[in-house]
Amino acid sequence: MLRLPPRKTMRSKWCNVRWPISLFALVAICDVAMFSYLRFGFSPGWPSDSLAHELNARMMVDSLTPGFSQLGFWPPLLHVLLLPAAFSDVLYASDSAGFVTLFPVLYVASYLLFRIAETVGGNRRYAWLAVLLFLMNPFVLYFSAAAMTEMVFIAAFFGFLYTWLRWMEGGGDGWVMSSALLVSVMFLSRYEGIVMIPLCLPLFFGSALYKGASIRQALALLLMCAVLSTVGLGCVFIYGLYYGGDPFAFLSIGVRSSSNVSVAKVVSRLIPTQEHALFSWKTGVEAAKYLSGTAFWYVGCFAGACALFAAWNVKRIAVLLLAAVPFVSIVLLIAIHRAGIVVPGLGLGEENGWGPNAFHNTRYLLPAIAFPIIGSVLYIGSMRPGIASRVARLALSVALLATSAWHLLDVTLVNRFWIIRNDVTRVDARWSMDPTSRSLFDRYYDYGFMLVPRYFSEVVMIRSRVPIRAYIHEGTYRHIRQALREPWLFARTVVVNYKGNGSEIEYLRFVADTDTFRSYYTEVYRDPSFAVFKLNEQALRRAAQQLGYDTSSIPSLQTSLTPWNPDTIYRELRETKRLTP
Amino acid sequence: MSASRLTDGTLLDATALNSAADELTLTQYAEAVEEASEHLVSVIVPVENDKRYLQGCFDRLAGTFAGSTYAYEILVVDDHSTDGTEEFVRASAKSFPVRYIGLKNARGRARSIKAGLDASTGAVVVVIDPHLRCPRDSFWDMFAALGSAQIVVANRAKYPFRAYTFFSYIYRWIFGRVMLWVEADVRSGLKMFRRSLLQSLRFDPQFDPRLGFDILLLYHARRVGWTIRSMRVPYSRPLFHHGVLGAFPPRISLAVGVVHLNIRRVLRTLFPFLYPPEPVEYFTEGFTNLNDYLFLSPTQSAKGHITPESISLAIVGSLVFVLCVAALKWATGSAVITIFALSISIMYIVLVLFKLFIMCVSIAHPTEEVAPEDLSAVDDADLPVVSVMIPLYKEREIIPQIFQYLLDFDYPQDKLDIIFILESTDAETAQAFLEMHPPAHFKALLSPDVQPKTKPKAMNVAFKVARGDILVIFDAEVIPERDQLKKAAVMFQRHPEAMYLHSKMDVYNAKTNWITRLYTGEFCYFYHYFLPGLVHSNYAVPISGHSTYFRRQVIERVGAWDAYNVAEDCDIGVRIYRKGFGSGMMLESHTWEQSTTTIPTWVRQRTRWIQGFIQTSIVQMRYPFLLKRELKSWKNFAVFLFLVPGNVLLNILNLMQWLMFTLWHTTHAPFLQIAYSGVTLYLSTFCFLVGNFMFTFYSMFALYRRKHYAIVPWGILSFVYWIMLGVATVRSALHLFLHPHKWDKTSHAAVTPKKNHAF
Repeated sequence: MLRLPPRKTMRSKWCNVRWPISLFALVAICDVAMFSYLRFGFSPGWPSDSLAHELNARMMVDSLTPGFSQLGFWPPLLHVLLLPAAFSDVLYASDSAGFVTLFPVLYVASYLLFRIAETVGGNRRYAWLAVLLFLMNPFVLYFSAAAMTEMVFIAAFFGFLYTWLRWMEGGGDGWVMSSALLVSVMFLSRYEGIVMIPLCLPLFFGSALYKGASIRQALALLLMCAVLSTVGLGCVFIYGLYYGGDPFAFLSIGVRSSSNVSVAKVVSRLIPTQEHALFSWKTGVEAAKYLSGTAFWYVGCFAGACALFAAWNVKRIAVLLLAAVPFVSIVLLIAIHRAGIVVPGLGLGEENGWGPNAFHNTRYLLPAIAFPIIGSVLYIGSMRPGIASRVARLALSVALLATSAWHLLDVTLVNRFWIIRNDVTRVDARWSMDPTSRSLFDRYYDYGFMLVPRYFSEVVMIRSRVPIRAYIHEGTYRHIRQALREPWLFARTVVVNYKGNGSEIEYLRFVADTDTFRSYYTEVYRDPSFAVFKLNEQALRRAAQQLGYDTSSIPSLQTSLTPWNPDTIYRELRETKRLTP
Repeated sequence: MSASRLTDGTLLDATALNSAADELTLTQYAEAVEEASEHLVSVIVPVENDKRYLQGCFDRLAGTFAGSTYAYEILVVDDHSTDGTEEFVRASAKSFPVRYIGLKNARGRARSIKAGLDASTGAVVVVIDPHLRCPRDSFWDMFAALGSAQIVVANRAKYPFRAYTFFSYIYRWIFGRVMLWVEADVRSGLKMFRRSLLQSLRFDPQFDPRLGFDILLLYHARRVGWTIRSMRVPYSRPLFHHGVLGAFPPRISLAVGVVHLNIRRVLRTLFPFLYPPEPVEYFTEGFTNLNDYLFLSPTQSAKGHITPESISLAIVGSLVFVLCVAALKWATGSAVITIFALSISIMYIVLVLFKLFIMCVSIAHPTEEVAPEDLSAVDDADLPVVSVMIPLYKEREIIPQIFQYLLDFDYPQDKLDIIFILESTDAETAQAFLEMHPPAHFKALLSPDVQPKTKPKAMNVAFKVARGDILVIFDAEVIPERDQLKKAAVMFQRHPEAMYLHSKMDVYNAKTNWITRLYTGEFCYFYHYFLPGLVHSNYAVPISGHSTYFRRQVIERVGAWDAYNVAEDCDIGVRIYRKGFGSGMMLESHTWEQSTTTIPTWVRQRTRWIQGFIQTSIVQMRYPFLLKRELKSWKNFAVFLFLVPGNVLLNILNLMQWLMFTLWHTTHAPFLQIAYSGVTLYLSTFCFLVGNFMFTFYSMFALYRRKHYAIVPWGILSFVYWIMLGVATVRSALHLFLHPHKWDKTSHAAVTPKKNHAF
């Protein structure tokens, strides 16, 4: 009997698009639920870094000194991605810019994880399991709602894994080149990615030989991959050369780099010393356990370890080992003092004066979640057929889902993101979260420039109605030094911060105590954290008149001089007698 | 039916001819029609509510033609009359050879005459107003004058009163003599002309009805140099037959039209690039020019490459650019140099992205292959004759190599028409050719010793004697794959719509030195990843100078090669596209060619190529709007700009970017700080870094994909190559003025290619 070939029906077409659509729906539900919970239900607060990222992204186009310089020495990719959303006033002011930007990133990460798990597990059901485990992690969802770099790094990392796997599974050389390019993307999203460069090149070379390429071909491929994987590094080198005078500026200020070019300085003070390699390992494990949930971490790692033996397939084992790279690289960075991570119980918080329950930068370990997830799926997929295996598969899956669910509930409802709430970075930002300060800013703003120490002001700058281009702060590096020297020539309002450190902050404190400053400014508000000074316009005009100076050239009196050119106006002012009574 | 039957003044109509056709063969019928038309006079009478004059008009015409040897037809063109003109004319058709033509929608005297002309069949056309009374003798005097002139206009000899005479003279003097330079009554109601003239006269598409058809006719006739005779004729017409006020509108309308025509004439003088010649002449039929073997019309050739059109376009383009810069300066307050630097950066980015896009298209759409079993299934009898043209000049060392691959071709030798084109002054190569004892189907053709001495001229010489249905050119140093001809024939059979095929290039002396390595990278990128993308996207492509397979009619239809263009391949590619033949198809077959090996040779070769690109840009852009119309869309036009002038521009921009970047870092000169500030600095840096990175990577990628693994690292040195390209571009710009048509021949060494390349 003649059998006709199967027709491509609507049903089969639907099957092809069903899982990406379902995945999208799942990601959307999880992410929106978590964002709503964080934004409207219970808010542990956003890390101050996330607000700074949003601010930096916006300052690239909206500040006294717009441009790439506002990227500072943070990895630039997130800021570039944030730019469109941060430029929208609605998204920017409501802290939604991060969520809007990172939602597609989370979807891409989930999609790639799905494809990886499908390939290594050999079954689409295991791919769904992997994605569920990923999306049930509360910190994955948290860092997809806050404008932080982790999710971009994870997506790029999954992309790297997937493209490499596709290439190994018989794909064209375009896949391995994409893989190399994604190493650059990883580096541009987080500087830990630099560890991937020396790691991936031998991997590509060895893989090419494994696939049967000649030495010459493998070398040619290696060269091309080297070019692609170091593109990001090259960009950062050039950026460092331009704005820091040192191509290695990003290295010299450590992984926790300052966000702004004007403060490109070593901040190792914040990196606790962890000299013992075992101690570094322990810190890494503890941080990973906090992020993944202890039970899930152990179950997942155990499954992964079993997979190393059970699934004896070079490509799959290689994927599993690659999935462990983020964890290993962070431990390595801790050991060489390039990553400062603090978890309770190891004494580091107390040593640094932050208290026994302090957390610091535990989020660095978030990409380590790849290992237990991929390990579990690989192990489940590598079990032999049979009733016993089926039961074991089911039991392991249930155990993984149960531990994940427990961790999700524990973090969100029971402990309510205590890791985030006790994070030192967030504590630093506590002063600026005061809503009073925001309303004060709005009250005293009178269309002139406002001199603020930036370390204090990230959140206030975002939340207040003062235009960002009206602020003189350390990010506006071409103007800040002049403004600090003689603030009355430029700023109509000065905010002096009495907490926090930093050369600009301390210098402004000093200047604010001088008689000259007091003669030009009137204090209008003071609390233990900060004081607000308003310009005494009459005094300044009187002084200018006595010296015969044209007041229309003084930016603090002539608000239409926005922005002033530091190379012209200030020189003109300097050439006459200084406005000192 | 014979001509004698037409001499009795009977109406020549379709019925009579059809009845005659029953008796005659088709050829005889056609001859009869032609002969009959020669003795037929078409009288066009435009009317608008002029019924009362028609009877008299018909009677006068019947009287005029009575006893003559000419037949006549009256075409009454009715411009929406409401006085029963139609009924009257149809009724009169029983007594007179008259036809009624009603205007459908458009109105006006000019439209009426145009409609009459379209319907007329006579060899001589007379336009006459219905109320005009012309003496019979004067009519035939005018008719006789047609023997020595193309147009005869009746000048009115008598006017009803002096004031009328005065104003008519003034009117004729201003609008006829001063504005149209026509010594005739521009408003004359009686004109005669040969109808054949109209066939070679094409009016502007935007036909201006205000001007009146007869004015346009006189104007164009004077432009193309026809003889216009005017005769004083004592004709008469009713005074103010449409009332006193009715006399003004046609005169005012005509005056406005003439002024408008003169404005256009001034514009045509100032901006000739806006007005292509009508009709556009592409080439002369018959390919008979033996003086320089240029078959193209002057407007399509680089012979006089700097023309008023090009100068005007350059001036206008520069002015527009300056105005844009001034407007931007006014709007943004930036310095001119900043805006200039910004525009360069934006152009650069667009070019970089365009090349990336084309490369992606190319990767996504692999070239169609001809499987070995398809080749073996081909019956030799079905294969077409292929003419292989090989221009040679001082290439005696390479002749054995050429013979080797030609004799080794997997193609029936009796279907090969191989033409070696030798220069008559190059005895050594001719001697070497003879010493090889060529078989019968190898022909040697001596190119005449006339200027210009270029490869395209040699090909034009050979094209006239080539007998193949498919034409292909091979340069002396190239080696095609042995089944390439057969693949081309199969592809032509498989795709009847494909008019030409591009084969892919590779280099057989790639590892000689660093120049050949970089040359290989460039060729791999262009022929394997850029050209296929362009062809797939159906853009006008600068084709290769050799190994491109043409159907013969393509070359015939575009007038062969431009003998004066030193990059004739680029030029013919664009002209083929303009003629509507598209961008051809890729042929999955390789031709191995020899790279230049020394810097001077390389620079000379590039100078010629880039000079040809500049020539092509100038020639094709003589009439930019015509070019856009023929390229079908603005997108294609933009792609042409990217590919041909943009290619030259990119070389210069690259050089400038390198120079500026170096100066910026070494000197921090103040003018550079102004030029590269803010956004401009970012964009320029982006262009410099990303653009150069991408171009480098394209080259490496192409080398890798072509399995030139050992050469991949050399791709990193591409920037050295671009600097050389910049130098060659500057040199070519100088050459354009010093030696515009000099063929700076690339000398080729006798390099033995590896066996696995082609044989």
